Amino acid sequence: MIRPAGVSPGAFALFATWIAGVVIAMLTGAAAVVILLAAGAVGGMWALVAGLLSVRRVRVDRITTADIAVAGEELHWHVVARAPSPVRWELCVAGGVVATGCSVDGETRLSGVGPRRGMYTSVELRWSSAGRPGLCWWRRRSTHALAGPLAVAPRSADDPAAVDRRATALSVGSAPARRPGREHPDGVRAWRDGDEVNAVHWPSSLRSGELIMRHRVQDASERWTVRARTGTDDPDHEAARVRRALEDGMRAGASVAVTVDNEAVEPIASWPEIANWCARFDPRAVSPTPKRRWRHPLRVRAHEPKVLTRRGRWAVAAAGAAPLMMVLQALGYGPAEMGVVLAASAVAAIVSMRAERWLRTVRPVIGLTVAAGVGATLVDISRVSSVATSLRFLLPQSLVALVVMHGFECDDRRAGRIAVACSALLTAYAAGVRIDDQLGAWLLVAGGGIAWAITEIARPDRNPRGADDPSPLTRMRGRRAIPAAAGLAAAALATLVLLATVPVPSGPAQLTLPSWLEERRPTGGDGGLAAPDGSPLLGGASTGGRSTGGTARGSAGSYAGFSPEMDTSARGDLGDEVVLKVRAPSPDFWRGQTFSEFDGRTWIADADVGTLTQGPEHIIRRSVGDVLGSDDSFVQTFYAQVDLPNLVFAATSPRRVLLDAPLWQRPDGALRADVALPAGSAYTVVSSRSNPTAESLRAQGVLDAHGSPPAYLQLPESTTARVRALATRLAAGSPSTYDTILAIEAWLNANVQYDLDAPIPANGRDAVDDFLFESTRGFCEQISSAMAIVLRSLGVPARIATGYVPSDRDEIAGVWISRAKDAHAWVEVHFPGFGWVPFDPTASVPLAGEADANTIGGELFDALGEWAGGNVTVLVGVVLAAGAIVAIARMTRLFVARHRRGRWGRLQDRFVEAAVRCGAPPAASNAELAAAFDDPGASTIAALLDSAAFSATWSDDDTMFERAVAALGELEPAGSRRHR
Amino acid sequence: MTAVWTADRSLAPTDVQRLSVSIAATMAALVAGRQKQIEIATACVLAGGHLLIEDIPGVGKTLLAQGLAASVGGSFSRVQGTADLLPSDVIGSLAPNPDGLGLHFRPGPLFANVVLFDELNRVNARTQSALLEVLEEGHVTVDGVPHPVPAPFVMVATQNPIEMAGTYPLAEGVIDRFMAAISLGRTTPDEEVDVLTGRRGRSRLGTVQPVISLAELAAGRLLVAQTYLHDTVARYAVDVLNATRNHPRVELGASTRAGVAMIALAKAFAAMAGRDHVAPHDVHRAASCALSHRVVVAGGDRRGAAAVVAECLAAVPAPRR
Repeated sequence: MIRPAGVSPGAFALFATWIAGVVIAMLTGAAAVVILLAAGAVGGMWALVAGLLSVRRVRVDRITTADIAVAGEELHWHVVARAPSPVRWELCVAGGVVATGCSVDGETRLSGVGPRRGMYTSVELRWSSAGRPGLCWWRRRSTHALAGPLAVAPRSADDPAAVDRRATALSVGSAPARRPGREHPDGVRAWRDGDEVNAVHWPSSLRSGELIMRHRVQDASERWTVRARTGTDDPDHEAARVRRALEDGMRAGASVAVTVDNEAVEPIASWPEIANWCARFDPRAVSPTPKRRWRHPLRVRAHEPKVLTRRGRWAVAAAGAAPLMMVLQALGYGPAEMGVVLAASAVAAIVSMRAERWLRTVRPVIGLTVAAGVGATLVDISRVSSVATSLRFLLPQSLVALVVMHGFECDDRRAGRIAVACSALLTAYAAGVRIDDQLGAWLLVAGGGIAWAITEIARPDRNPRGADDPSPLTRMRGRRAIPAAAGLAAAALATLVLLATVPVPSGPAQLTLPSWLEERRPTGGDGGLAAPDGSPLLGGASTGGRSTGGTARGSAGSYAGFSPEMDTSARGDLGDEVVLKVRAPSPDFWRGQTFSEFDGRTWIADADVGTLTQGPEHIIRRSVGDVLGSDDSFVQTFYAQVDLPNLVFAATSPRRVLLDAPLWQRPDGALRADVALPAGSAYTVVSSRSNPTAESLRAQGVLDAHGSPPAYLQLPESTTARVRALATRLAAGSPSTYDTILAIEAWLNANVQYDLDAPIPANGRDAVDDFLFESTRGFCEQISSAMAIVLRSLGVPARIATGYVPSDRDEIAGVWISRAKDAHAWVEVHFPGFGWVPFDPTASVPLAGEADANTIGGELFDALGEWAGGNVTVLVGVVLAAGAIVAIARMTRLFVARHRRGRWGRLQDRFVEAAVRCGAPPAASNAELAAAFDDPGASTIAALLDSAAFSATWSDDDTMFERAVAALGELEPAGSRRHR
Repeated sequence: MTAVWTADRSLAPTDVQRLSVSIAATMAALVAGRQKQIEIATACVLAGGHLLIEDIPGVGKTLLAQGLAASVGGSFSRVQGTADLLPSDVIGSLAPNPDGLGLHFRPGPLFANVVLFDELNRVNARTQSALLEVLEEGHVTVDGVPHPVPAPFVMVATQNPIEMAGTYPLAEGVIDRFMAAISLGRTTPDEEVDVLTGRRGRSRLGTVQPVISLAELAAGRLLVAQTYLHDTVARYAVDVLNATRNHPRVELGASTRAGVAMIALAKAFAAMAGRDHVAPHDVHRAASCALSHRVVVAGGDRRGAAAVVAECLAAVPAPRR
């Protein structure tokens, strides 16, 4: 019967951490936390069933014990069983546990006390195991017959039972009544004071010259008949009284017998017989097996030793190292602080392992002091300005200090599991906060460390006999490594499959949205654009001309679109540097600027800077042309990776901005901070999207009749007739404006080429006309301008927006990555029902309403597949390298073993291996092993090996060795000639 | 009576093997079968120990002992155990001088190189105890004067464990003095035919010639004692002893003296196999005949003891290189 027996102490801490991880995932919306949670769920399932599998695989061979025992006194049991992982044993007799113990492998000696008085022929063995994770225990039981009946006698009582003492009539010379047994046989002894004359053994006396007495005569002159009674209240006590009386009689040298209720007299001959009789007495009184009661299935019991092993303690400390590093790195601490924290953890591990009494008492004090020091090193209170920043600048530091302090008190398994749970919590926190590329690698390291520490905590003390294993090489097979690798692979696959059902988080809850400034760089305070250093940013062409790209290469500010005026013919030479990471559930246009006025060459932003709100939480008012979107909140957190100008990027249409600085809300919908945004800053935008789809836009029909807002219908005077003609041609036959837009995009696709090196139009020429009909080469600014002008000429309100589009996604961190070259310009078309809808003739960002709802697992699969597809050689190389490392490690171990054990040692190993194959017991001596071969040569080898090992005069001899190798080669059965 | 006992130092290590082979050959001509027991008995003699033979009457216990004595040159005497045998009957007593003035020590039957003590368990406890001194120290003390028995001194005692009436079970101390205990068991029909036809058996006893001199025996003992014992093997022996102490059915495990006896016997086995070092299987072999009579099993079952020792041997892995 198998049933759960409870969870290990501290296991609930891990469960609680998982729940806390769920909270973190909901608060941050970080995919990495969800991946951690999925891995944790798979691990939890494994922990749940590992014990079940382990318990099922136990095979009990036999149980032996003494034949006679005394109730309540020490009794040893010998259980021979095979168990794959650590097992806790409980031996029950008549329903009561009489011995307990723990074993790592096969043979187990259990010590306990004798059970209740009685005769027992079988015992019940219960064993429980939690497998390698050691978190959830399962129990199984089976009944085993003993080799012989176990007689359990009561302890002698203080008051003996009633005794009939009678002298036995024994006349000298008559044949003595023989008594069985050999305790007091007939014999002679020297004379003692008070001996009767008729007991003298005359022949002996005459021969020896001294008085020799017949021993028997004195010895058996008394007969004690002990009267046992049935029907007493306490048969055990009655048996104990009988035992006392019988023993008294035996000690007094009388012949003893016992009678139950004055009936048949049963003589007792020996001490073991007394015990046997007392165990047997009144079988009715031996209580039957107590009725099985229902027990709480989840009773928590200490199935494992409380004290954490040294190895386990170090595993706990090691498992904490990676999460601590992750958190400290995320908080921007340097190697010095990390060194302090790691050193404190190591000191904590060492101190907690010392069991001195004085140290135990002062340990909390040491921990508190060290934690205070660590906390003081880490926490910079001055940064804390709001509840939101305290989550970043006070909470994690305190958590780190607490973890360090707990390390000083962590000396039992419960505390070890709690410490590991804290490490997992730190990992989840870091996974929620971090968005860098190394996150995946750190998660692997931290997760591996935590899993290892959990199994290490559950591992019982090492079997001391393992050190003397006669042949260490026999344990060198890959038997343990391969299932472990297969298990890990299965767990990884299960995690991915589980993740495939989890959708990408729809952004964080709005309770605590990240927002902080790495540094406050004030701008002019007039709502104008400012460069990353805070200085005013004027005409775009001057800073970002293509010809001058060399100086400002890669800088976000060098993009012409991030200036009050955008020359369509100029584009900065933008690099590959990551400038922005955005945590958002789906990709969108991260808009920074909008331009409404076009002079035929340059787009000009509104001069109106709008209103200033102080923040940190800014409620954004509706700008011109905005419509109220759906209730869907599209949360984006922007992480500046380089120093950025004071543009606040947002997906249309922002409703709330969390930014720790005043914010200008422009009427054209763009947002500008009153400070520049240095690298490391973060802010969050909550947008409400109108989620247009192709069908719903098509349903809006042809828009030229509406023509509102009129400001966005302005056309430069230089607009040529052939541009208008093209517009009319493309609009003709389109049932709706949406189809017109598609037609324009299709025409552009077919007739112009995307080219970053497009020629600059001649002075005075209309840039759009030049691009469409002369050069037919251009980049996004020109393509977008052309589309906007074409639409405006049809009476459709359109404008140019600039900002970033995501080009890449980090699936682990769950962020969209934009590089400097992803700076982009696109067209926003005003649909009355949806407000401004972005269209992009150059990049392929889907409509907000048509974004695929993907899952984390699907994305991971895609990313992994993509990566594997692109890095086949790397993958093959890694596999080959891993194989080579394993092979080299094995060969090294073999070499080391060979070196340590010498060539004769290797020969010995081969001999053992061959003999075991022939059926010899592996622990036998060489001579016994040789017997398995049925070949006289084997004994010669055995003798050689023995003398190589144990002789003082042994001298190695090459010819002898060669001969032994040759002889062994003949003995080895085919197919076993490995590991030469 | 003092035997001149000088070790023949010209003996080479392999000569122990030669000696044991010649003893075995002599004994094989005399005793039907029982090669193993003969080997153990020879090892016991070479290791300087005393031998206890336990079996039912009529299986050749006495013949084995007599043959052993006869093949080793030297004096032989025999004591028959009875309940009224007294210490002075065995070890000797003080007798008046012929001139009637004073007393002189008159040695008992113990004063011989090989002493066969038949039915030792019929001797009363007092006489048994009187043997302790000579078995351990090789001399007897009468009236405060120690009298050394001739060296080498080997006692071969027999006991019949079945017929218990009128016997004094050997005390633990006495039993512990015997290096090895063997029982003979039944012979095969062929061997029994040999005995009945007179080709082997007691009728041949008169033809046995000593094949090993006392000097050779002394040298052999020296060589046996010098057999090298590796620490690993010694540890193995200790593990076996500990196993008997920890076995659940054992009341009294093997003593350290049992271990010493076991190792001495193992050395003799090794030397008899022509080796200069003790191998683990020598210990294994020695354990089964040196420990089973010393281990006290709950319930006092002697056969159980042999099983327990076998179990302990199986439980302790033998050392290898």
